[in-house]
Formats: sequence, C-alpha cells, structure tokens
Amino acid sequence: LAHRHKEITAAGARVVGISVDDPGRNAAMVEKLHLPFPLLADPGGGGAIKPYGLWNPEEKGGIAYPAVLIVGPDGEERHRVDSRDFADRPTEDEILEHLAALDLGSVTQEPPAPGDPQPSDRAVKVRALVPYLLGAKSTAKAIGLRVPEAQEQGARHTAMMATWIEAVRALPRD
Amino acid sequence: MPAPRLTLPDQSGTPWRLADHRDAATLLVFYRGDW
Repeated sequence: LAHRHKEITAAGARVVGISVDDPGRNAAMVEKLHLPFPLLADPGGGGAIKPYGLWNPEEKGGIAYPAVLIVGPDGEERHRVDSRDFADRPTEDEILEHLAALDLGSVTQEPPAPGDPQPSDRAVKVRALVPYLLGAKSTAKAIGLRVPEAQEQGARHTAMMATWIEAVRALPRD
Repeated sequence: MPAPRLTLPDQSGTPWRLADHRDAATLLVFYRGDW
C-alpha cells in the first residue's frame, strides 16, 4: 500500500493502519518502512478492532484479523475485505478499483509524525526482508505447481510477494 | 452501514479521529501487529 500511496490519495482516500501495537512500536514501523500514513495503536482492541468485529482472541493473547475497509466521506462503510490470514490480502489494484467506483476527488495526506520509535527485539531489518519474501514467493510458487487446487492461490500469492519484494527493494537501506 | 466511531493514538501519541476525515474516503487497514 505504501508504494502506491500516491495513487490511493489521487483516488480520494487516505490510509491508516491499525493494530494492537503501542505507539512506540508503530513509530518504529513507520520509520523502518518509510510509511506515508499513520499507524494507530489499539492495544486490547477496544477502540476499533472489537467494534469493527475483527478481534481474534485465539492468537498472541488477542490481535486483529487482517482486513481492509473503505469508509466513505459520509462515514458509511463502503467496502470490506476480511482476510483469513496474513497472506490473504486484497491487491492494490483491487482496492483502487473500489475507490474508482466511488468517484471521489483527489486528496492529500500529511506525512506521519515521527514519534519516539521503540523497535521490538524481534524486529526484522529491512535488508532481511528481501530474502524472507523471496522464500515466501518460492514456497507459494512450489505449492501452486504441486497442488492443483492451490494453483490459483499460489499464483496470486507469488505475484503479491513479487510486488512486496519490489517495494522493499525501493526502500533506503537500514 | 455507518462505520463505528474511531479515535486512537497515532505513532506519535496524537489522537486520530475518523470523524475529522469527512473530506475524503479512509482506507482502514487492520494488521495482526505484534511484529
């Protein structure tokens, strides 16, 4: 999403990320990934994750199910994609198609304030993300080739990993 | 369906309100977090 942020704002939407992570952790992610949008902290899920019906109590003491929602300028929920897991995300092209259907004017989004970054001990360095994603891409491709039922999902995930690798390679090195 | 109200601190601790963004669409991206 970050690498196509200009297209998203041109289509009339601003982006915010939401998770259980606290502001210090989120500030570290904004800095590391050079995110052009803010990350909001919802530890415990009461501020948004639970009200939006996305609370997953089964993992890590409670986290959000991945999801992408489009809220219109009128405050109405216009579109929602609930994901089964981290690998099940709508593509940027799909999101842009939904935004185009709303026929909105272009907007701008201020860069996020830096905050006080407090990275996790387990945080992966940007330079380590490329081999990680290459592994995910190869695995998705191999499964798609071997399991006929997984052919379509394998191809979709392979393409998504290729997009993410390109986005990470475009980031400054840490 | 109206989206539930939403006010949460951003990465700098500043409150971010969905209601302040009625001039545009908002893409709410929920992450697993804890990364």
